[in-house]
Amino acid sequence: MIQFDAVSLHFGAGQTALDDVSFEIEAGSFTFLVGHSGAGKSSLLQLIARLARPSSGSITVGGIDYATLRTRHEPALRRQMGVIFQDNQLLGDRNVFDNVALPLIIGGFRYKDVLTRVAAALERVDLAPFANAYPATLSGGQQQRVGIARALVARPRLLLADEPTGNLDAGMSQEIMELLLQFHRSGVTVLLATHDVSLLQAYDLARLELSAGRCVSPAVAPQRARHPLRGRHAHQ
Amino acid sequence: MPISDSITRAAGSQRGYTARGYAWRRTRTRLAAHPVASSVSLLVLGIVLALPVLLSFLAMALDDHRGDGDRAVTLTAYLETSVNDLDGAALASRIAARPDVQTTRYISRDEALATFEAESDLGDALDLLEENPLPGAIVITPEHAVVARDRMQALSDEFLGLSEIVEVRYDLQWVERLQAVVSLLRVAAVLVTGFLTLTALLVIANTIRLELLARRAEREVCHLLGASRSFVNRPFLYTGVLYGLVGGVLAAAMAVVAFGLLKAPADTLAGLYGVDQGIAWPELSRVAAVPLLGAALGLAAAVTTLYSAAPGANVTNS
Ligand SMILES: Nc1ncnc2c1ncn2[C@@H]1O[C@H](COP(=O)(O)OP(=O)(O)OP(=O)(O)O)[C@@H](O)[C@H]1O
Ligand SMILES: [Mg+2]
Repeated sequence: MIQFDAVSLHFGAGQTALDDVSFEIEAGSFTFLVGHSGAGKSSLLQLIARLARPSSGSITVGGIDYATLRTRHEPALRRQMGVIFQDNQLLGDRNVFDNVALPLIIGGFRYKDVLTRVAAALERVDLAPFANAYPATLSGGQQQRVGIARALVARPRLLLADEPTGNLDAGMSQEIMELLLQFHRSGVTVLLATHDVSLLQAYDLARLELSAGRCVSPAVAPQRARHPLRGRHAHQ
Repeated sequence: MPISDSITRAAGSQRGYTARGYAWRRTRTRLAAHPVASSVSLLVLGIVLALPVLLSFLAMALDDHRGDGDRAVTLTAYLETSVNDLDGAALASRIAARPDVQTTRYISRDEALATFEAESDLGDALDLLEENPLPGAIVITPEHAVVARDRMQALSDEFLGLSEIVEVRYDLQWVERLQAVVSLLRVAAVLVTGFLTLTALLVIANTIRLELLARRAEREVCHLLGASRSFVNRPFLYTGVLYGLVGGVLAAAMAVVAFGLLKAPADTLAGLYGVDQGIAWPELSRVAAVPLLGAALGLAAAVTTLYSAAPGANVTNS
């Protein structure tokens, strides 16, 4: 599903976010992306979402080689992914329904489909009664669930989550995690960046570990993951 | 799965969920979100555009007047007394065929005499003469483009070169005065129109720029969710068009009112220059064109803002 081959990402003079990173993530897997702050997790996710371009190396996602991807086809590529961030990036000027409906409007869905899909997505994250609420009136966990509903409403094959539990307490983190696992079980490939140790301890899943922009061997070998990460790690 | 009441209540009307409908809805919501600021901007826009619109109405009214120049600017060519009516009329039609001449009218010696007798106290005196002393004449109306002192002089010299013509007279003084005033007004109007249109463009561009900043988060989220550039930009283009359109309506309304106020004194002025019917109201189609031009201006302002100094839609987290 995702393939990195000797990918580096530099910012300006000497700032290195990723350095010669190679790995492969299989379709249908659930992978933790771990590493200390500044290790390059967000940068890696941004490369996958084509929000940044690698300084060198090649990236292939869902069979698409990014080197040959045209700029005008990038939006269509992004529409096939769901993205969740720590700051949930909900829009405060519209209600929950319209926040969740946005990817469908962008995707050109018919009104009837918008209604049924948003209804189903809100049902899944258990927020149907809050459809008319504004994000500011919701708790952090509820907001994050709206973000998940929005990321998944267009039924993407790949979900990128960047510390979705970063602002939440342990109980809420677990709630979010269960929700993501639920989507994973329905066939969505999930790549979840986190440094939430309790989460890593509670769920023994495949791990891709970054350290100072380099890919290092997973600290804990994946056991329960259905599609374990196949490491093709950086040549050292 | 049946859709619950809470969902249908939360959903807006169907029209707002297409790409274009969404853009219009966003545009309207944003405009309504800051009613005072929006109204002030629109009013500023209307006032700024009203003067150029008024000037163009006046210029068009003056242009229309150049059409009824028959009595305004003419040359009168006096013929040799030996030229008979047949030859005089033939000469008149030959002159009329020239590209720089609009029309001609031949005045026979008899007609000249009749006119002289009717209009002059000295008419009776002519009865004392045995023969009609008045020459035939051709009244020549040149094309508008020719109405300038050097061109008129050249034309007059040419006619003098014809053997049948002994004298050419024309009075340009009042025309020149009027034209001096008109061309002064015209240059002033062009300058004012240029400056104020530019001002209007900047007002709209600035509004769009502020909107871009205020809605940065929204644009970034849309970008992230796979929106094309045109989807992200569309609400801002619509905002520009809407501002231009409403500003244009206000400007047209103000200009028509101002035109009404100016009409009476302008008609008096026209009367002083021998133009009887005064200046004409602008045609409805010209008034209606103002909002459309405003909309085009707004679109231009939005496009330049979006595609030049648009704060990038780069998405960064953490
Ligand atoms: N836009 C940027 N310009 C310059 N340097 C950047 C930029 N984005 C990231 N970096 C640098 O790249 C490195 C990796 O950053 P990144 O945000 O990917 O880390 P992270 O693992 O997500 O950290 P955190 O856990 O704190 O979110 C850091 O050293 C950071 O300073
Ligand atoms: Mg990060």
